Amino acid sequence: MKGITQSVLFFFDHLRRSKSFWVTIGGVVVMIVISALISYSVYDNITPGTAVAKIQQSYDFTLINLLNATTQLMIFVGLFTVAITVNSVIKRGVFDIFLSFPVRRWELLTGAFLSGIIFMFVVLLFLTMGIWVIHSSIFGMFYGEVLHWGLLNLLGFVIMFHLVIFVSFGFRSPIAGLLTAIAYSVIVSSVVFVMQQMIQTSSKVWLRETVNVVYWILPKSSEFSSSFFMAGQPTAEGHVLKLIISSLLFIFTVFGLTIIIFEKKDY
Amino acid sequence: MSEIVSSKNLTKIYPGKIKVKALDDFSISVMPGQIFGLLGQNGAGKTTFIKILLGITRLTEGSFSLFGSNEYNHLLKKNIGYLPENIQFPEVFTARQSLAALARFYEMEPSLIKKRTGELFELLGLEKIADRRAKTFSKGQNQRLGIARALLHDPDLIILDEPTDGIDPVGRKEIRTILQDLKSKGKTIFLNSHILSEVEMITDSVAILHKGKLLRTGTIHELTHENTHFEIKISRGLTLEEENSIVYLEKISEKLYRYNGSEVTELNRIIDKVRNLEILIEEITLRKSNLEELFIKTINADERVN
Repeated sequence: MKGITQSVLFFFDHLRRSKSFWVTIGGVVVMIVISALISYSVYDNITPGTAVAKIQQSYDFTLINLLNATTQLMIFVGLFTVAITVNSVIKRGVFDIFLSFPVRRWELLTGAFLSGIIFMFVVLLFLTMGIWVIHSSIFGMFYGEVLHWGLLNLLGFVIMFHLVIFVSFGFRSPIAGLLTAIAYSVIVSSVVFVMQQMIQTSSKVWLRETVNVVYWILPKSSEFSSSFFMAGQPTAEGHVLKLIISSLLFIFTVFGLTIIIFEKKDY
Repeated sequence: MSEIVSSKNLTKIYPGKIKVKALDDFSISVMPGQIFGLLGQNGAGKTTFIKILLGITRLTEGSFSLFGSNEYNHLLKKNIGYLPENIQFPEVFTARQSLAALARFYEMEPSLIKKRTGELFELLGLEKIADRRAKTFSKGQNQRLGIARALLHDPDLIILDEPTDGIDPVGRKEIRTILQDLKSKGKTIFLNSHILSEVEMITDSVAILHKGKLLRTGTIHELTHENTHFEIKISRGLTLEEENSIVYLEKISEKLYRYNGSEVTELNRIIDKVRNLEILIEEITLRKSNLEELFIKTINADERVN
Protein backbone atom coordinates (compact mmCIF):
# COMPACT_ATOMS: atom_id res chain seq x y z
CA MET A 1 0.00 0.00 0.00
CA LYS A 2 2.90 2.31 0.76
CA GLY A 3 4.00 1.98 -2.86
CA ILE A 4 0.56 3.03 -4.10
CA THR A 5 0.56 6.10 -1.85
CA GLN A 6 4.06 7.07 -3.00
CA SER A 7 3.02 6.61 -6.60
CA VAL A 8 -0.20 8.62 -6.18
CA LEU A 9 1.71 11.46 -4.49
CA PHE A 10 4.32 11.48 -7.23
CA PHE A 11 1.75 11.62 -10.02
CA PHE A 12 -0.13 14.40 -8.23
CA ASP A 13 3.07 16.34 -7.82
CA HIS A 14 3.72 15.88 -11.52
CA LEU A 15 0.16 16.83 -12.45
CA ARG A 16 0.08 20.04 -10.45
CA ARG A 17 3.31 21.26 -12.02
CA SER A 18 2.23 20.65 -15.60
CA LYS A 19 0.86 23.33 -17.89
CA SER A 20 -2.10 21.13 -18.76
CA PHE A 21 -3.10 21.14 -15.08
CA TRP A 22 -3.53 24.91 -15.23
CA VAL A 23 -5.36 24.56 -18.54
CA THR A 24 -7.78 22.20 -16.76
CA ILE A 25 -8.21 24.56 -13.80
CA GLY A 26 -8.64 27.48 -16.20
CA GLY A 27 -11.17 25.36 -18.12
CA VAL A 28 -13.20 24.80 -14.96
CA VAL A 29 -13.24 28.52 -14.20
CA VAL A 30 -14.18 29.40 -17.79
CA MET A 31 -16.96 26.77 -17.78
CA ILE A 32 -18.35 28.17 -14.53
CA VAL A 33 -18.24 31.74 -15.86
CA ILE A 34 -19.92 30.77 -19.15
CA SER A 35 -22.52 28.76 -17.24
CA ALA A 36 -23.16 31.76 -15.01
CA LEU A 37 -23.70 33.99 -18.06
CA ILE A 38 -26.08 31.45 -19.61
CA SER A 39 -27.96 30.99 -16.34
CA TYR A 40 -28.28 34.74 -15.94
CA SER A 41 -29.44 35.15 -19.53
CA VAL A 42 -32.06 32.39 -19.14
CA TYR A 43 -33.30 33.85 -15.84
CA ASP A 44 -33.36 37.33 -17.30
CA ASN A 45 -35.66 36.16 -20.08
CA ILE A 46 -38.27 34.82 -17.70
CA THR A 47 -41.17 37.23 -17.77
CA PRO A 48 -42.33 38.57 -14.42
CA GLY A 49 -45.31 36.74 -13.00
CA THR A 50 -44.33 33.33 -14.41
CA ALA A 51 -45.47 30.47 -12.20
CA VAL A 52 -42.89 28.99 -9.84
CA ALA A 53 -43.37 25.54 -11.37
CA LYS A 54 -42.43 26.93 -14.79
CA ILE A 55 -39.39 28.70 -13.35
CA GLN A 56 -38.33 25.46 -11.70
CA GLN A 57 -38.71 23.64 -15.01
CA SER A 58 -36.48 26.21 -16.66
CA TYR A 59 -34.04 25.90 -13.73
CA ASP A 60 -33.85 22.11 -14.15
CA PHE A 61 -33.58 22.16 -17.92
CA THR A 62 -30.80 24.74 -17.96
CA LEU A 63 -28.85 23.09 -15.12
CA ILE A 64 -29.00 19.64 -16.75
CA ASN A 65 -27.75 20.93 -20.07
CA LEU A 66 -25.07 23.09 -18.53
CA LEU A 67 -23.74 20.26 -16.35
CA ASN A 68 -23.86 17.76 -19.16
CA ALA A 69 -22.06 19.90 -21.72
CA THR A 70 -19.39 21.22 -19.36
CA THR A 71 -18.58 17.90 -17.66
CA GLN A 72 -18.24 16.15 -21.02
CA LEU A 73 -15.88 18.81 -22.28
CA MET A 74 -13.84 18.81 -19.08
CA ILE A 75 -13.57 15.02 -19.17
CA PHE A 76 -11.72 15.27 -22.47
CA VAL A 77 -9.53 18.11 -21.20
CA GLY A 78 -8.78 16.09 -18.03
CA LEU A 79 -8.05 13.00 -20.09
CA PHE A 80 -5.44 14.92 -22.09
CA THR A 81 -3.90 16.23 -18.87
CA VAL A 82 -3.48 12.81 -17.26
CA ALA A 83 -2.37 11.22 -20.56
CA ILE A 84 0.38 13.86 -20.85
CA THR A 85 1.54 12.99 -17.34
CA VAL A 86 1.59 9.27 -18.14
CA ASN A 87 3.50 10.03 -21.34
CA SER A 88 6.09 12.05 -19.45
CA VAL A 89 6.75 9.15 -17.09
CA ILE A 90 6.89 6.25 -19.50
CA LYS A 91 9.20 7.80 -22.04
CA ARG A 92 12.65 6.32 -22.52
CA GLY A 93 15.19 7.40 -19.91
CA VAL A 94 12.54 8.30 -17.31
CA PHE A 95 10.79 4.94 -17.16
CA ASP A 96 13.99 3.09 -16.21
CA ILE A 97 14.25 5.26 -13.09
CA PHE A 98 10.69 4.37 -12.14
CA LEU A 99 11.21 0.68 -12.60
CA SER A 100 14.31 0.83 -10.38
CA PHE A 101 12.33 2.15 -7.41
CA PRO A 102 11.74 -0.15 -4.43
CA VAL A 103 8.07 -0.36 -5.38
CA ARG A 104 6.18 -3.19 -7.04
CA ARG A 105 5.18 -2.56 -10.62
CA TRP A 106 1.48 -3.01 -9.98
CA GLU A 107 1.70 -0.39 -7.22
CA LEU A 108 3.20 2.12 -9.66
CA LEU A 109 0.46 1.37 -12.15
CA THR A 110 -2.34 1.54 -9.60
CA GLY A 111 -0.92 4.82 -8.28
CA ALA A 112 -0.99 6.32 -11.76
CA PHE A 113 -4.58 5.12 -12.30
CA LEU A 114 -5.86 6.32 -8.93
CA SER A 115 -4.20 9.72 -9.16
CA GLY A 116 -5.95 10.34 -12.49
CA ILE A 117 -9.31 9.30 -11.07
CA ILE A 118 -8.92 11.41 -7.92
CA PHE A 119 -7.80 14.39 -9.99
CA MET A 120 -10.82 14.10 -12.27
CA PHE A 121 -13.16 13.57 -9.33
CA VAL A 122 -11.96 16.84 -7.78
CA VAL A 123 -12.25 18.64 -11.14
CA LEU A 124 -15.82 17.37 -11.68
CA LEU A 125 -16.77 18.11 -8.08
CA PHE A 126 -15.62 21.73 -8.34
CA LEU A 127 -17.20 22.14 -11.75
CA THR A 128 -20.54 20.63 -10.76
CA MET A 129 -20.73 22.42 -7.43
CA GLY A 130 -19.56 25.71 -8.92
CA ILE A 131 -22.16 25.65 -11.69
CA TRP A 132 -24.91 24.48 -9.33
CA VAL A 133 -24.21 27.12 -6.66
CA ILE A 134 -24.07 29.99 -9.17
CA HIS A 135 -27.03 28.76 -11.21
CA SER A 136 -29.11 28.21 -8.07
CA SER A 137 -28.11 31.60 -6.66
CA ILE A 138 -29.23 33.31 -9.87
CA PHE A 139 -32.58 31.47 -9.85
CA GLY A 140 -32.94 31.80 -6.09
CA MET A 141 -33.77 28.11 -5.69
CA PHE A 142 -31.53 25.24 -4.62
CA TYR A 143 -32.46 21.78 -5.88
CA GLY A 144 -29.70 19.21 -5.90
CA GLU A 145 -31.45 16.10 -7.26
CA VAL A 146 -29.45 15.98 -10.48
CA LEU A 147 -26.03 16.61 -8.98
CA HIS A 148 -25.08 12.96 -8.38
CA TRP A 149 -25.88 12.21 -12.02
CA GLY A 150 -23.26 14.76 -12.95
CA LEU A 151 -20.70 12.69 -11.11
CA LEU A 152 -21.66 9.61 -13.13
CA ASN A 153 -19.58 11.29 -15.81
CA LEU A 154 -16.59 10.32 -13.66
CA LEU A 155 -17.27 6.72 -14.58
CA GLY A 156 -17.21 7.74 -18.24
CA PHE A 157 -13.78 9.25 -17.59
CA VAL A 158 -12.55 6.13 -15.76
CA ILE A 159 -13.59 3.99 -18.73
CA MET A 160 -11.53 6.15 -21.10
CA PHE A 161 -8.61 6.56 -18.69
CA HIS A 162 -8.24 2.84 -18.07
CA LEU A 163 -7.86 2.37 -21.82
CA VAL A 164 -5.14 5.05 -21.83
CA ILE A 165 -3.38 3.22 -18.97
CA PHE A 166 -3.76 -0.15 -20.72
CA VAL A 167 -2.22 0.94 -24.00
CA SER A 168 0.35 3.26 -22.40
CA PHE A 169 1.80 0.84 -19.86
CA GLY A 170 1.14 -2.35 -21.76
CA PHE A 171 2.50 -1.19 -25.09
CA ARG A 172 4.32 2.03 -24.18
CA SER A 173 2.28 4.23 -26.46
CA PRO A 174 0.31 6.95 -24.63
CA ILE A 175 -0.76 8.66 -27.85
CA ALA A 176 -2.25 5.40 -29.13
CA GLY A 177 -3.88 5.02 -25.70
CA LEU A 178 -5.45 8.44 -25.91
CA LEU A 179 -6.72 7.82 -29.44
CA THR A 180 -8.10 4.40 -28.44
CA ALA A 181 -9.93 5.92 -25.48
CA ILE A 182 -11.44 8.73 -27.52
CA ALA A 183 -12.33 6.42 -30.40
CA TYR A 184 -13.95 3.99 -27.99
CA SER A 185 -15.99 6.62 -26.25
CA VAL A 186 -17.01 8.62 -29.29
CA ILE A 187 -17.50 5.80 -31.79
CA VAL A 188 -17.71 2.26 -30.32
CA SER A 189 -19.66 3.02 -27.18
CA SER A 190 -22.10 5.35 -28.96
CA VAL A 191 -22.67 2.93 -31.85
CA VAL A 192 -23.27 -0.01 -29.51
CA PHE A 193 -25.66 2.09 -27.41
CA VAL A 194 -27.67 3.27 -30.43
CA MET A 195 -27.68 -0.22 -31.96
CA GLN A 196 -28.89 -1.73 -28.73
CA GLN A 197 -31.78 0.73 -28.65
CA MET A 198 -32.64 0.16 -32.30
CA ILE A 199 -32.61 -3.62 -32.52
CA GLN A 200 -34.85 -4.27 -29.53
CA THR A 201 -37.79 -4.54 -31.90
CA SER A 202 -35.90 -6.55 -34.51
CA SER A 203 -37.30 -9.93 -35.50
CA LYS A 204 -33.79 -11.36 -35.87
CA VAL A 205 -33.18 -13.00 -32.53
CA TRP A 206 -29.50 -13.74 -33.21
CA LEU A 207 -28.83 -10.08 -34.00
CA ARG A 208 -30.69 -8.90 -30.94
CA GLU A 209 -28.86 -11.34 -28.69
CA THR A 210 -25.44 -10.58 -30.18
CA VAL A 211 -25.84 -6.83 -29.79
CA ASN A 212 -27.21 -7.28 -26.28
CA VAL A 213 -24.24 -9.44 -25.25
CA VAL A 214 -21.77 -6.94 -26.71
CA TYR A 215 -23.68 -4.09 -25.08
CA TRP A 216 -23.58 -5.67 -21.64
CA ILE A 217 -19.91 -6.62 -21.90
CA LEU A 218 -18.57 -3.26 -23.04
CA PRO A 219 -18.45 -0.30 -20.66
CA LYS A 220 -20.97 2.47 -21.25
CA SER A 221 -18.95 5.65 -21.47
CA SER A 222 -21.32 7.38 -23.89
CA GLU A 223 -24.38 6.48 -21.82
CA PHE A 224 -22.87 7.81 -18.61
CA SER A 225 -22.17 11.10 -20.27
CA SER A 226 -25.61 11.50 -21.83
CA SER A 227 -28.18 13.79 -20.31
CA PHE A 228 -30.66 10.90 -20.27
CA PHE A 229 -30.26 10.09 -16.60
CA MET A 230 -30.00 13.64 -15.44
CA ALA A 231 -33.22 14.55 -17.13
CA GLY A 232 -34.91 11.94 -14.96
CA GLN A 233 -36.08 9.81 -17.91
CA PRO A 234 -37.70 6.57 -16.80
CA THR A 235 -35.46 3.49 -16.96
CA ALA A 236 -36.07 -0.19 -16.30
CA GLU A 237 -35.66 -1.21 -12.68
CA GLY A 238 -32.01 -1.77 -11.80
CA HIS A 239 -30.88 -0.59 -15.25
CA VAL A 240 -28.42 2.02 -13.93
CA LEU A 241 -26.99 -0.41 -11.40
CA LYS A 242 -26.52 -2.99 -14.14
CA LEU A 243 -24.79 -0.38 -16.28
CA ILE A 244 -22.42 0.53 -13.47
CA ILE A 245 -21.64 -3.07 -12.50
CA SER A 246 -21.03 -4.24 -16.08
CA SER A 247 -18.77 -1.26 -16.73
CA LEU A 248 -16.83 -1.83 -13.51
CA LEU A 249 -16.39 -5.52 -14.38
CA PHE A 250 -14.92 -4.56 -17.72
CA ILE A 251 -12.62 -1.99 -16.13
CA PHE A 252 -11.37 -4.48 -13.51
CA THR A 253 -10.77 -7.10 -16.21
CA VAL A 254 -8.81 -4.77 -18.46
CA PHE A 255 -6.91 -3.23 -15.54
CA GLY A 256 -6.05 -6.73 -14.29
CA LEU A 257 -4.80 -7.58 -17.76
CA THR A 258 -2.74 -4.38 -17.79
CA ILE A 259 -1.12 -5.41 -14.51
CA ILE A 260 -0.32 -8.89 -15.85
CA ILE A 261 1.24 -7.49 -19.03
CA PHE A 262 3.11 -4.77 -17.14
CA GLU A 263 4.44 -7.20 -14.52
CA LYS A 264 5.78 -9.62 -17.13
CA LYS A 265 7.10 -7.24 -19.70
CA ASP A 266 10.81 -6.55 -20.24
CA TYR A 267 11.73 -2.88 -20.53
CA MET B 1 32.60 -11.66 3.19
CA SER B 2 29.78 -12.53 0.79
CA GLU B 3 29.35 -10.99 -2.64
CA ILE B 4 27.15 -7.95 -2.97
CA VAL B 5 26.29 -8.83 -6.57
CA SER B 6 26.70 -12.21 -8.16
CA SER B 7 25.32 -14.08 -11.11
CA LYS B 8 25.49 -17.75 -11.94
CA ASN B 9 25.07 -19.07 -15.47
CA LEU B 10 22.75 -16.21 -16.24
CA THR B 11 21.17 -16.29 -19.67
CA LYS B 12 18.79 -13.81 -21.22
CA ILE B 13 17.07 -14.41 -24.52
CA TYR B 14 14.84 -11.68 -25.88
CA PRO B 15 11.88 -13.36 -27.55
CA GLY B 16 10.63 -12.37 -30.97
CA LYS B 17 10.79 -13.50 -34.56
CA ILE B 18 14.56 -13.37 -34.30
CA LYS B 19 15.54 -14.41 -30.80
CA VAL B 20 18.41 -12.41 -29.37
CA LYS B 21 20.70 -13.96 -26.79
CA ALA B 22 21.73 -10.88 -24.82
CA LEU B 23 23.51 -12.83 -22.07
CA ASP B 24 24.93 -16.31 -22.35
CA ASP B 25 25.88 -18.31 -19.26
CA PHE B 26 27.15 -15.18 -17.56
CA SER B 27 28.71 -15.55 -14.11
CA ILE B 28 30.44 -12.84 -12.11
CA SER B 29 30.80 -11.75 -8.52
CA VAL B 30 31.34 -8.33 -7.03
CA MET B 31 32.65 -7.98 -3.50
CA PRO B 32 31.54 -5.20 -1.13
CA GLY B 33 33.59 -2.01 -1.29
CA GLN B 34 34.82 -2.69 -4.82
CA ILE B 35 34.58 -0.58 -7.92
CA PHE B 36 33.66 -3.14 -10.54
CA GLY B 37 33.69 -2.38 -14.25
CA LEU B 38 31.65 -4.29 -16.78
CA LEU B 39 33.20 -3.67 -20.16
CA GLY B 40 31.86 -4.38 -23.57
CA GLN B 41 30.99 -2.93 -26.91
CA ASN B 42 27.54 -1.51 -27.59
CA GLY B 43 25.06 -4.36 -27.56
CA ALA B 44 27.35 -6.65 -25.57
CA GLY B 45 24.69 -7.18 -22.90
CA LYS B 46 25.97 -4.81 -20.19
CA THR B 47 22.72 -2.87 -19.76
CA THR B 48 20.68 -6.08 -19.92
CA PHE B 49 22.62 -7.43 -16.95
CA ILE B 50 21.96 -4.27 -14.92
CA LYS B 51 18.29 -4.34 -15.85
CA ILE B 52 18.04 -7.95 -14.70
CA LEU B 53 19.58 -7.02 -11.35
CA LEU B 54 17.00 -4.26 -10.95
CA GLY B 55 14.03 -6.35 -12.07
CA ILE B 56 13.46 -4.17 -15.15
CA THR B 57 14.12 -7.16 -17.40
CA ARG B 58 13.49 -10.80 -16.48
CA LEU B 59 16.16 -13.46 -16.82
CA THR B 60 15.64 -16.55 -18.98
CA GLU B 61 17.90 -19.00 -17.16
CA GLY B 62 20.38 -19.05 -14.30
CA SER B 63 20.30 -17.01 -11.13
CA PHE B 64 21.65 -13.91 -9.49
CA SER B 65 21.91 -12.56 -5.99
CA LEU B 66 21.91 -9.09 -4.50
CA PHE B 67 23.28 -8.38 -1.01
CA GLY B 68 23.59 -12.15 -0.56
CA SER B 69 19.91 -12.77 -1.21
CA ASN B 70 18.95 -15.17 -4.00
CA GLU B 71 15.30 -14.27 -3.71
CA TYR B 72 14.34 -11.22 -5.76
CA ASN B 73 12.70 -8.67 -3.53
CA HIS B 74 11.78 -5.17 -4.66
CA LEU B 75 12.75 -3.80 -1.23
CA LEU B 76 16.39 -4.66 -1.92
CA LYS B 77 16.32 -1.78 -4.38
CA LYS B 78 16.05 0.63 -1.44
CA ASN B 79 19.77 0.15 -1.05
CA ILE B 80 20.65 0.59 -4.72
CA GLY B 81 21.31 3.83 -6.54
CA TYR B 82 20.91 3.57 -10.30
CA LEU B 83 21.93 5.81 -13.13
CA PRO B 84 20.41 4.53 -16.37
CA GLU B 85 22.00 5.10 -19.75
CA ASN B 86 20.61 8.24 -21.44
CA ILE B 87 18.78 9.32 -18.31
CA GLN B 88 15.99 11.86 -18.60
CA PHE B 89 13.86 13.56 -15.99
CA PRO B 90 10.16 14.40 -16.07
CA GLU B 91 9.95 17.68 -17.97
CA VAL B 92 7.72 19.54 -15.54
CA PHE B 93 10.20 19.54 -12.68
CA THR B 94 13.24 21.66 -11.95
CA ALA B 95 16.37 19.74 -10.95
CA ARG B 96 15.62 20.30 -7.25
CA GLN B 97 11.95 19.34 -7.60
CA SER B 98 12.90 16.23 -9.57
CA LEU B 99 15.09 14.91 -6.79
CA ALA B 100 12.49 15.74 -4.15
CA ALA B 101 9.70 14.05 -6.11
CA LEU B 102 11.71 10.92 -6.85
CA ALA B 103 13.08 10.70 -3.28
CA ARG B 104 9.50 10.04 -2.14
CA PHE B 105 9.90 6.44 -3.25
CA TYR B 106 12.73 5.97 -0.75
CA GLU B 107 10.69 7.22 2.20
CA MET B 108 13.07 10.09 2.88
CA GLU B 109 12.08 12.86 5.27
CA PRO B 110 11.68 16.28 3.59
CA SER B 111 14.44 17.76 5.78
CA LEU B 112 16.82 14.97 4.77
CA ILE B 113 15.92 15.39 1.10
CA LYS B 114 16.70 19.10 1.36
CA LYS B 115 20.02 18.44 3.08
CA ARG B 116 21.14 15.68 0.70
CA THR B 117 20.01 17.62 -2.38
CA GLY B 118 22.04 20.65 -1.27
CA GLU B 119 25.14 18.52 -0.59
CA LEU B 120 24.92 16.66 -3.89
CA PHE B 121 24.28 19.77 -5.97
CA GLU B 122 27.38 21.32 -4.46
CA LEU B 123 29.42 18.17 -4.99
CA LEU B 124 28.36 17.86 -8.62
CA GLY B 125 28.49 21.55 -9.43
CA LEU B 126 24.77 21.93 -10.00
CA GLU B 127 23.91 24.61 -7.38
CA LYS B 128 23.57 27.41 -9.94
CA ILE B 129 21.15 25.51 -12.15
CA ALA B 130 19.28 23.64 -9.43
CA ASP B 131 16.12 25.67 -9.98
CA ARG B 132 16.10 25.33 -13.73
CA ARG B 133 13.97 22.71 -15.47
CA ALA B 134 15.97 19.60 -16.20
CA LYS B 135 14.73 19.59 -19.80
CA THR B 136 16.88 22.68 -20.45
CA PHE B 137 20.04 20.88 -19.25
CA SER B 138 22.91 19.86 -21.48
CA LYS B 139 23.74 16.15 -21.67
CA GLY B 140 26.57 16.57 -19.18
CA GLN B 141 24.38 18.48 -16.70
CA ASN B 142 21.66 15.87 -17.09
CA GLN B 143 24.18 13.14 -16.41
CA ARG B 144 25.39 14.91 -13.25
CA LEU B 145 21.80 15.26 -12.08
CA GLY B 146 21.37 11.55 -12.73
CA ILE B 147 24.37 10.78 -10.57
CA ALA B 148 22.94 13.03 -7.84
CA ARG B 149 19.70 11.07 -8.02
CA ALA B 150 21.52 7.77 -7.78
CA LEU B 151 23.34 8.95 -4.64
CA LEU B 152 20.43 10.79 -3.03
CA HIS B 153 19.30 8.05 -0.65
CA ASP B 154 22.89 7.13 0.24
CA PRO B 155 22.74 3.57 -1.10
CA ASP B 156 25.36 0.89 -0.45
CA LEU B 157 25.38 -0.31 -4.04
CA ILE B 158 25.64 2.24 -6.83
CA ILE B 159 25.00 1.04 -10.36
CA LEU B 160 26.09 3.46 -13.03
CA ASP B 161 25.46 2.84 -16.72
CA GLU B 162 27.90 4.95 -18.75
CA PRO B 163 28.24 7.63 -16.04
CA THR B 164 30.64 9.90 -17.89
CA ASP B 165 28.80 9.87 -21.19
CA GLY B 166 28.60 13.44 -22.46
CA ILE B 167 30.73 14.86 -19.67
CA ASP B 168 33.83 16.96 -20.45
CA PRO B 169 37.32 15.87 -19.28
CA VAL B 170 37.28 18.14 -16.20
CA GLY B 171 33.87 16.80 -15.22
CA ARG B 172 35.07 13.24 -15.75
CA LYS B 173 37.95 13.79 -13.38
CA GLU B 174 35.54 15.20 -10.79
CA ILE B 175 33.30 12.17 -11.15
CA ARG B 176 36.27 9.83 -10.76
CA THR B 177 37.14 11.62 -7.54
CA ILE B 178 33.55 11.28 -6.31
CA LEU B 179 33.52 7.57 -7.09
CA GLN B 180 36.82 7.01 -5.32
CA ASP B 181 35.53 8.96 -2.35
CA LEU B 182 32.42 6.77 -2.27
CA LYS B 183 34.60 3.69 -2.39
CA SER B 184 36.59 4.98 0.58
CA LYS B 185 33.28 5.20 2.46
CA GLY B 186 32.72 1.50 1.83
CA LYS B 187 30.23 1.83 -1.02
CA THR B 188 30.24 -0.69 -3.85
CA ILE B 189 30.17 0.72 -7.34
CA PHE B 190 29.15 -1.24 -10.39
CA LEU B 191 30.15 0.54 -13.54
CA ASN B 192 29.18 -0.09 -17.15
CA SER B 193 31.43 1.71 -19.52
CA HIS B 194 33.22 1.64 -22.79
CA ILE B 195 35.62 4.44 -21.86
CA LEU B 196 38.36 1.99 -20.95
CA SER B 197 41.06 4.47 -19.93
CA GLU B 198 38.74 5.77 -17.27
CA VAL B 199 37.69 2.36 -16.05
CA GLU B 200 41.34 1.39 -15.73
CA MET B 201 41.97 4.41 -13.51
CA ILE B 202 39.30 3.69 -10.96
CA THR B 203 38.14 0.09 -10.98
CA ASP B 204 39.43 -2.75 -8.84
CA SER B 205 38.05 -5.55 -10.98
CA VAL B 206 36.61 -5.79 -14.44
CA ALA B 207 34.76 -8.26 -16.59
CA ILE B 208 34.88 -8.22 -20.37
CA LEU B 209 31.61 -9.06 -22.02
CA HIS B 210 31.27 -9.75 -25.72
CA LYS B 211 28.04 -10.72 -27.46
CA GLY B 212 26.60 -11.76 -24.11
CA LYS B 213 29.53 -13.97 -23.17
CA LEU B 214 32.00 -13.35 -20.40
CA LEU B 215 35.45 -13.45 -21.96
CA ARG B 216 37.71 -12.33 -19.11
CA THR B 217 37.38 -11.29 -15.50
CA GLY B 218 39.88 -10.32 -12.85
CA THR B 219 41.53 -7.42 -11.12
CA ILE B 220 43.05 -4.68 -13.27
CA HIS B 221 46.48 -5.71 -11.96
CA GLU B 222 46.00 -9.35 -12.90
CA LEU B 223 44.76 -8.59 -16.37
CA THR B 224 47.15 -5.86 -17.38
CA HIS B 225 50.23 -7.56 -15.92
CA GLU B 226 49.75 -10.67 -18.00
CA ASN B 227 51.62 -9.19 -20.91
CA THR B 228 54.13 -7.09 -18.99
CA HIS B 229 57.65 -7.38 -20.39
CA PHE B 230 60.90 -5.47 -20.69
CA GLU B 231 62.53 -4.57 -23.97
CA ILE B 232 66.30 -4.34 -23.88
CA LYS B 233 68.23 -2.54 -26.59
CA ILE B 234 71.89 -3.49 -26.77
CA SER B 235 74.91 -2.21 -28.71
CA ARG B 236 75.39 -5.39 -30.78
CA GLY B 237 73.54 -8.57 -31.64
CA LEU B 238 74.16 -11.70 -29.57
CA THR B 239 75.65 -14.83 -31.00
CA LEU B 240 73.60 -18.03 -30.78
CA GLU B 241 75.83 -19.28 -27.99
CA GLU B 242 75.43 -16.03 -26.05
CA GLU B 243 71.73 -16.10 -26.57
CA ASN B 244 71.47 -19.62 -25.20
CA SER B 245 73.46 -18.65 -22.14
CA ILE B 246 70.96 -16.01 -21.12
CA VAL B 247 67.72 -17.71 -20.19
CA TYR B 248 64.38 -15.83 -20.55
CA LEU B 249 65.78 -13.47 -23.17
CA GLU B 250 63.92 -13.55 -26.48
CA LYS B 251 65.14 -11.96 -29.65
CA ILE B 252 62.88 -9.38 -31.27
CA SER B 253 65.31 -7.96 -33.85
CA GLU B 254 69.06 -7.63 -34.39
CA LYS B 255 69.78 -5.51 -31.31
CA LEU B 256 66.46 -5.66 -29.54
CA TYR B 257 65.60 -8.34 -26.99
CA ARG B 258 62.66 -9.03 -24.79
CA TYR B 259 62.35 -10.37 -21.26
CA ASN B 260 58.82 -11.74 -20.77
CA GLY B 261 58.30 -11.01 -17.12
CA SER B 262 57.99 -8.31 -14.52
CA GLU B 263 60.48 -9.71 -11.98
CA VAL B 264 63.08 -7.02 -11.31
CA THR B 265 65.54 -9.52 -9.75
CA GLU B 266 65.53 -11.63 -12.89
CA LEU B 267 65.89 -8.52 -15.02
CA ASN B 268 68.99 -7.53 -13.07
CA ARG B 269 70.42 -11.01 -13.52
CA ILE B 270 69.96 -10.65 -17.29
CA ILE B 271 71.59 -7.20 -17.24
CA ASP B 272 74.57 -8.64 -15.35
CA LYS B 273 74.99 -11.42 -17.89
CA VAL B 274 74.78 -8.99 -20.82
CA ARG B 275 77.28 -6.65 -19.13
CA ASN B 276 79.64 -9.59 -18.48
CA LEU B 277 79.74 -10.08 -22.23
CA GLU B 278 80.93 -6.46 -22.40
CA ILE B 279 77.88 -5.42 -24.35
CA LEU B 280 76.50 -1.94 -23.80
CA ILE B 281 72.88 -1.67 -22.75
CA GLU B 282 71.43 1.30 -24.60
CA GLU B 283 67.87 1.26 -23.37
CA ILE B 284 65.51 -0.72 -21.14
CA THR B 285 61.77 -0.12 -21.57
CA LEU B 286 58.95 -1.53 -19.48
CA ARG B 287 56.15 -2.56 -21.82
CA LYS B 288 52.84 -2.94 -20.05
CA SER B 289 49.59 -3.58 -21.85
CA ASN B 290 46.77 -1.27 -20.85
CA LEU B 291 43.13 -2.22 -20.46
CA GLU B 292 42.26 -0.95 -23.91
CA GLU B 293 44.88 -3.17 -25.58
CA LEU B 294 43.77 -6.11 -23.51
CA PHE B 295 40.13 -5.45 -24.34
CA ILE B 296 40.71 -5.20 -28.08
CA LYS B 297 42.97 -8.25 -28.04
CA THR B 298 40.38 -10.27 -26.13
CA ILE B 299 37.52 -9.21 -28.37
CA ASN B 300 39.51 -9.86 -31.55
CA ALA B 301 40.59 -13.29 -30.31
CA ASP B 302 36.96 -14.18 -29.64
CA GLU B 303 35.90 -12.91 -33.06
CA ARG B 304 38.54 -15.10 -34.70
CA VAL B 305 37.44 -18.20 -32.77
CA ASN B 306 33.76 -17.69 -33.54
